[in-house]
Amino acid sequence: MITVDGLSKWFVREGGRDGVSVLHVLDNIDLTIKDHEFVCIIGPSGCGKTTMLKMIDGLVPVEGDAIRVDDVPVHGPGPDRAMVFQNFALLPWRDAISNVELPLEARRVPPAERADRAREALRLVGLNKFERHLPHELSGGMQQRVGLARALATQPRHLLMDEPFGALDEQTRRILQDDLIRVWEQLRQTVVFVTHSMDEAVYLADRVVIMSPRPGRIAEIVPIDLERPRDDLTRRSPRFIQLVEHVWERLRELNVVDAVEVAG
Amino acid sequence: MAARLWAARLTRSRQRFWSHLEERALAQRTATDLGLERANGTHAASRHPEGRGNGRRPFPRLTSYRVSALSVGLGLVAWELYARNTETFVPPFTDVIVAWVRMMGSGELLAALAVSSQAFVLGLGLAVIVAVALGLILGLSDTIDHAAAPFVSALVALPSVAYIPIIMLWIGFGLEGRIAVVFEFCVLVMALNFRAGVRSVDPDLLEMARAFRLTRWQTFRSVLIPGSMTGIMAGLRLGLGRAIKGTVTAEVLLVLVGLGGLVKHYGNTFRIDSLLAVVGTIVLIALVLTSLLMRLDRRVNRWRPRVQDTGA
Repeated sequence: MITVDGLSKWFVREGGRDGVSVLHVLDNIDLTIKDHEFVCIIGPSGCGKTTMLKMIDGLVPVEGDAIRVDDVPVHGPGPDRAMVFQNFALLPWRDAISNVELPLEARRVPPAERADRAREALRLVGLNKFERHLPHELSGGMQQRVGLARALATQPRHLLMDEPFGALDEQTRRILQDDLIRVWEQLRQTVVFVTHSMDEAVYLADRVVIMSPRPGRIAEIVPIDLERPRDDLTRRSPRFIQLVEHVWERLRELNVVDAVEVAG
Repeated sequence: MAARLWAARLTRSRQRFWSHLEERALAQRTATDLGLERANGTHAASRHPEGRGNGRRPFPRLTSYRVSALSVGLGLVAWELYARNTETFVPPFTDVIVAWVRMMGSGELLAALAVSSQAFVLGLGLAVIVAVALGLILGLSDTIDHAAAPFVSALVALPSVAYIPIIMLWIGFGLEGRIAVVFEFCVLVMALNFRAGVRSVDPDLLEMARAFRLTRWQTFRSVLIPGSMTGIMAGLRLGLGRAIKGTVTAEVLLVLVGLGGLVKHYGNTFRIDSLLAVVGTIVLIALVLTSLLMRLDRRVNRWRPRVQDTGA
């Protein structure tokens, strides 16, 4: 279980004409994510969704115990969580399997077991034939599959995904969404998935968290009552369209406020 | 007729050069899109379709290597003709070769080479070690980088030769003095390139290393060093060139020994053919060392997508 309890965050920026400026990124966020739940976080840019995700991972410092994972306050990355990055963050000089092995090296897993686990993770994401390929020899979608395999190989309880399909084209994105759901239904980690695509959020999630910007607040939490397994029929169902429209309306309201702020 | 054919061929090879680059890039992208087996598909597709198999070809294809060789050959012939037909201090190329053979035979060149290489190897080796440490520190710490910046700028602006009197006074005229000159010539350029290499490492990769809890040493070995390799190799290449200059400069200005000593000696006695033979030897050594380094570069950076291969 991931508990976010009264989380606020300010960034202090140095430089510029005024010397130091303070940026209020997150304001008093409360959010509880149950085990095995798939939660998507969506919001306009600047709403702090990525910051919150990185705080859950421990990459961005958290004060006190505003974030607890399985009742332990987060103060840094841990073995129970694994991150999938927007721009893949693969080592370009390592082939697919060695990239997947990297976090296992950090955990001192013996080489033979490391290779087995990496191979298994690559198989899960359908890349078993591409073990020996360097990242630049793979398409964007395949690169992110490696990124997903790398996270899965650590056998995390919680999967944190930061706009993982944001850099991919629409076709690839849909295929990877389905593959992600397939993997998740098999392994049942908790997934926190940050996105700026409304379709994606509704299609994937059990709940969609809509955030408002400057400072980041939770505007609404939308339960997604679409049946699983979901497929292309889901996307065409009236309920799906209705939910996406609902998310869009909330986001548009937020963006109007945003536009007024800019004009003023 | 032949001239016109050559001209046409030149134009075509120029066009080919550009379309060649695009073709490669395209083939590479297509191959990855289709998820083709590595390299094989790419290379086959990027070969020029007219490159082979069109029966007779009256002239060999103008590869960049052949163009370079041709240019050197023409330059040497021009030199020979010019020197044979005018009255200047410039000896013909063939005289220089004769002088070179004589100096090799007498052991004069090899003895000088042995003396020079001592200072060169020790000075460069020492400089590499110091530059790696310096480059890492300046690359990793903003505070130290800012603190050092004014000194670094001042030292870079100062011509290396200006240190020689100081080295003379501090360290003296012996091997140590020459090592110091070589060191001083090449250490900064390497340190700055190593620093740039460290700073060019993708911060997202460092964040990833943190997210997956890599230890300091693992981050260093698996992320930082491979990520800095481009800068490291560039630094070594530049440092190598400057170390050769430093070696010769020390021998000309500090103490007359080694190859630089020979240059000075033959210059003073107006034996230009011998002088050029020594200079040619230095150039050859520089070229050989550089090409060895380029080979090493290709080896360590093999993972890099190769769009361009000029064959130079």
